[in-house]
This record gives sequence, C-alpha cells and structure tokens, in this order.
Amino acid sequence: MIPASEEPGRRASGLRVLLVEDENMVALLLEDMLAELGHTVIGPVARLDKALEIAQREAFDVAVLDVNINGEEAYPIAEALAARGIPFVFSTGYGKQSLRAPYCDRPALQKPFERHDLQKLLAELSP
Amino acid sequence: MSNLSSHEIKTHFRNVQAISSGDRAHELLQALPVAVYTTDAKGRITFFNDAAAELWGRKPEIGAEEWCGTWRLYWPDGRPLPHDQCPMAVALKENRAIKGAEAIAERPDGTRIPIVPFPTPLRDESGALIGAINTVLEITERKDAEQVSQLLGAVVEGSHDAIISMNLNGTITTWNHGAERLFGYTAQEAVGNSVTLLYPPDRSDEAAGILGLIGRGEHLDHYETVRQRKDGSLVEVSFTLSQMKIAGGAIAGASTIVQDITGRREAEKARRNSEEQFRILADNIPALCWMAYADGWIYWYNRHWYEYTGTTPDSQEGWGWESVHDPKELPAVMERWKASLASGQPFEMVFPLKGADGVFRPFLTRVVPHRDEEGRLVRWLGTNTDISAERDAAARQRLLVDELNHRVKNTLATVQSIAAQLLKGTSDVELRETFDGRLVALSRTHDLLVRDSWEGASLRDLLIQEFEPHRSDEGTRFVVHGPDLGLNPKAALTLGMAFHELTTNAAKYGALSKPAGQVRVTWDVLRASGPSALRLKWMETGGPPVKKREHKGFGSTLIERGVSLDLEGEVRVDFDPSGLICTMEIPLAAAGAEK
Repeated sequence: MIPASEEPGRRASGLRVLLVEDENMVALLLEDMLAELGHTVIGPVARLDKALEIAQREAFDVAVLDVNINGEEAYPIAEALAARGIPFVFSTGYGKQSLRAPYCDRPALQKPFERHDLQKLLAELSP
Repeated sequence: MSNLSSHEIKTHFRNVQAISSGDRAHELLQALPVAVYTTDAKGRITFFNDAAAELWGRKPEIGAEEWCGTWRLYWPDGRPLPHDQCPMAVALKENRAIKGAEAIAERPDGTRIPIVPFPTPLRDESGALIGAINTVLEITERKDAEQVSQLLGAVVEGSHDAIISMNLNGTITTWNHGAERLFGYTAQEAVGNSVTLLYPPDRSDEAAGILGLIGRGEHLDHYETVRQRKDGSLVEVSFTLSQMKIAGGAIAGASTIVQDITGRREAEKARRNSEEQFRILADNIPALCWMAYADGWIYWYNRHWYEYTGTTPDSQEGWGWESVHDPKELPAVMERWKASLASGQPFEMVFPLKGADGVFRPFLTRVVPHRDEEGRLVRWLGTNTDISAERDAAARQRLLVDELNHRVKNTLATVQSIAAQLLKGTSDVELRETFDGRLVALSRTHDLLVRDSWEGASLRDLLIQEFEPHRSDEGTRFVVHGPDLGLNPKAALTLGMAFHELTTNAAKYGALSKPAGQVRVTWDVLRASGPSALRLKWMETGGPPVKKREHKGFGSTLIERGVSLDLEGEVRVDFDPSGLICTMEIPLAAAGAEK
C-alpha cells in the first residue's frame, strides 16, 4: 500500500503509549496496531475520570486519545497532558476540522485507521 | 385730468373772445390747468399756455408754427397725422368747431399721449373768421383704464381655471372658457341662469349659505366641494369667492375662481394609501428596517427596530444606532458602511445587534441605495434580519451530521477491527492491506460528502484526496484536468472506490511504483449527441512494462460492476504495455452532475 519512497525517515518503537478509547473493538484494533509497531500499550482506558488520573500521574511517552469518550469530550485529558508536556494524538471520526481550540492544530488520527498514518504520527511525536 | 367739461370751456372762451386779445385774457388762459392755445385765421400759433407747453413737451415759435404745437401727431391707430390735417386745421379750414376727435401727440422725447382736442373758430363781430382757440385734453388715464379692462378680460377668458361672476341673487353674469371646459355649459347657456345650476341635488342647501356670504361681504378661500357638470357627472372643485364692488363700494355680486381638484385629490389619496401601505408593511415584516439620507444619517426606523432594541426614536436618530452594536465589531461595521456611503454601492454584512434583553444576536444587514430619476443618490434603505434561528438550525444540523459521521467512522473502525481479528495469524499481509485500503477509501469519500452536507462531492476533490498519500515533493506525479463537476453521493462513492483501486494498482505495479511514473486523469462532458455524458480517461506513463497476468487480484471487477450497475456507464481497461489506460463514459444524469 505504501510506496517505499514515502516511508517516514524515522521509525519510532518501544514507546509507552496511553490508549484512551471507549469502544472495545476499536481499542483492540489500535492495541494490535501499536503492538505490531513495537510499542507498549497502557490501557486501553474507557472512562474519562480514570484516563484523567493516569494522564496526571503515570509515566508514559505519548497518548492516543479518542475525542469522544462515552459522549464526553477528551479535552480535559489533553489539557493535563499538555501541562505535563506529554505529546498526544487525537483519534477521531469527525475529521480534523472538528477539533476545538486550542487543539485545532494537534495531529489527528482518522477512523478507520491507516497503519502508516499511525506510524508516522507516533514517529513525529516521540521524543 | 381737468374737471372742466368741454362745454364749460367753450362758454368760457366765448367770454374771452369778447375781451379780445388783451393781457387780461392771456392772464386768464395762462392760469387754466388745461392746455390751451390760439391761432390766427391762417393757423399760425399766436398764443399757448404753460399747460399746453407741458403737454407738447416743447414751446412752439409764436407766429411761425401752424395748426398745432405738437412735435408729431398720429391717428389713434398709429398712422402719422400731418399737422395740416389735424382737428385744428380742419376747424379753421371748414370754419366749424370739432368735438371729441382723438389723436396721439408725440413729444420730442418720444412719449406719446392720447389727446382729445376741442378746436373752436373765433370770429369777429361781423362773423368773419379771425382765428381759433383749441383746448386739448389728455386721455391717458381713460385709455389705461380701457386697456386694463381689455387685458383683464383677456386674462379671464384665457385662464385655464373657470372664472364665473354672479350677482347678489346668484344669477350668473359672466362665464369664461375655463368654466365652459370644466362644466360643459357654454357662456350662452350659463349666463342668466342661477349658479345652483352647478350644484348636485344633495348640495343645493349650500347655495343659500354662499349667497349669504357674498351679501355680508365675506370671502371664501379654496373652499372644497363637489359640483355637477352639464352631463350630470360630479367634479371635485376648490373655489375662491370674492366680492365685486361697484363705484361707491356697494357689493354688486361675486366672482369665483373654480379649480378642478379631482386629479390632485386622487394623487393625494394614492400617496396617502401608498404611504400607509408602506408603514403597515414596514411595521409588520419581521426584519428591522430603516431609512437614511445620502450621507448615512438615519431618519426613520420601523416599529421592530424600537421593539427589538428597546430604544426610542430620539436616541437612535442619525448615528445613534452605534449604541446597539457590539463595541468589538463596531469598527469593522463602521469601516464597511462608510465605504458604501462613499462609493454608493450596496452594503451587506452580518453583525450582532443588542436586543432589549441585552443579548446580542446575529443580523444579516442589507442596505441598498435609492436613486432619483437623474441617478442621484437620495437615500439608503436598510434591513436587518435576525439570522440567529438559521444559525442555530445550521449549527444543530452540523452537530447531527458530525455525530452521525462519528458513529459511521466508529462502525467502520469496528469492522476494520473484526477483519483484523479474523486475519490475525494468517500470513496474507496483502489481504489485510487491501481490505484496510478499501475501507479507508470509502471512509474518505464519506468525509468529502459530509463536508457538503451529503449533497455531493467534486470529481476533482475526489481524485486529489485519493492521490494525496502518493504525491511527490516535485508535484509532477499527477495531472488532473477537466471542468468542475459535482457528483451525486452514489457516483462519488462508486468513483471514489474505482479511483482507489486504480491508484493502489498503480502504486503496486504501475506508474506510481517508479519515481518517474505519472498518472494523468482527464475528463470532459460530451453534449454533442443524445444525453450528456462524462467521459474520463485514466492514463499511466513511466511505469514498468505492463503484463496483464500480474494484475490478478486487481479490483477491475469492482470498477466495472460499480460503473455499469450503479452509474449505468461503460468502463474499459486497456493493459497497454506503456501504461494502463482506463476510460469511462457515464451519463451525466446518473453522475448527478449539475454544473
């Protein structure tokens, strides 16, 4: 699917990735994808308060946040992560244009997922 | 003018004659306030008094000039009258007195005076003619009065207004052409009749009142009533009535000037109606409306403006409207409005206006210039329409579409996950990638459709989106060329899938598998014969040599079935050795293109 010439120059692996996703099947897919790319998944977390707690306290490298968690927006988690300087990527079905300020310019992963998209975004975010 | 009658003067001079030509007689003649002069039997002037010299404007030479001391003489009709034919000359030659002959005397300064001379021969005791005496009366005033009277007559007759005079009994005494035009009666028919001739039956009681007014010497100015024409039709009139007095001040009757005001009344009624209609309309349409002079000074708002803003006319007049604007937005509004005022161009803008409840709501504001017949801008007509309901509805719809999109995408991701679980453990990575690719392509087309509220998507956008991940930095891998074309959702989904298959194939085996390869997509719309059709050509160049058998698993079935079944079109894929060529022809009706 991906032409060799378009592979990102940098490959990230071995990252600890916080996964916030309220739908089991979708979470399962992302877990597999992340594992395939050589990352360790923290979660998945399906509840906002729990996710917020982890976001504020636990140690991890990046986060993948579903924008809509059981009808609630994931922005408080984003805020907590931003405060700690932890990079994150939104996963959304709305499209990037639906992200709210000040997160409009944050990277977004479109559902359904493209493996190389995920790979590229994580490579860009990893420290 | 002298009060002496010609008879008195003559009597007077018969007495003078008896006194002969002595100093006493001259003294007496000199003192008279009328022009008097004498001649001898041959007509030579022997004496003239000061009044004569004043009348002539000169002093003739005694004993030398003949007949008359006038500079020049004319007949009343203006023909020159030689001195030797003047009444004095005739009186002497024929030896008889002449009374009341008119002539015109001209002074050296050019002024002309109508005169009536009374030349009378003078005889001695034997009856022999010894000369003549002439008394000359000016008739300027009499002439003027006659002329004025004639002039007035002409004015009355020529007036477009009806001018009628009547005596104290209400009997019509004069009737001009204007009256004939207005009422249909000729002067012959009207004069001698009572003015009640003109009264409609239901107004006959007006007559007594009006005649009473005349008798009491009162005036009526622009009294509006109804009168009846000869043909029975009614006419709305305005009349002004004034007394006519004869010498001594007694009231002899009245004159009336009557104007037909039907047209004026109707115009006024139409104007009032139109104004009232405008107010009703302006006060009942849901928009806020206003009018401003050419310089932008607002002089009128409709009722809704005051109701919505909770303001009063005093506070809003002119530029008072600034008070209901959001201070943050006002500078931009002001800039645009002043630009319109300067250019005379219509104004359109959306900005918030504060309601009486303190809440700002978005208003679509349109202002158009109103010009007069010469094209001068005379005023601005403005409307402000509350679009908060539309905005809310649009926002709600957006929210619904977003929510639906979110669900659809989550469902697709779930499907993706199910497939991934099933394929886990198989070694067919290509199968998983093909599946994911198709699912994502479907999802992206879906995004394009959602962006335009599921109304359709542009053919160009569809291609650009599919090509996006394969684009090179130089931007030379793709050529996309054709007229703008909107596709309906079904055509967008079908073609989106087809383009995905073609692109995937090109990336794996075709032009996109080589750095120098190029994909060229061109299309046009055929309108020459029969129904219009979209004809599209996909052409690859610069890829490795094409071998047909390598294309096992290529989604050509998907493309062919989609285009023929869903879009009633035709598709043809040629595995040309230099590059794959795919042509499609789809009826425009099925593609749903409206552009």
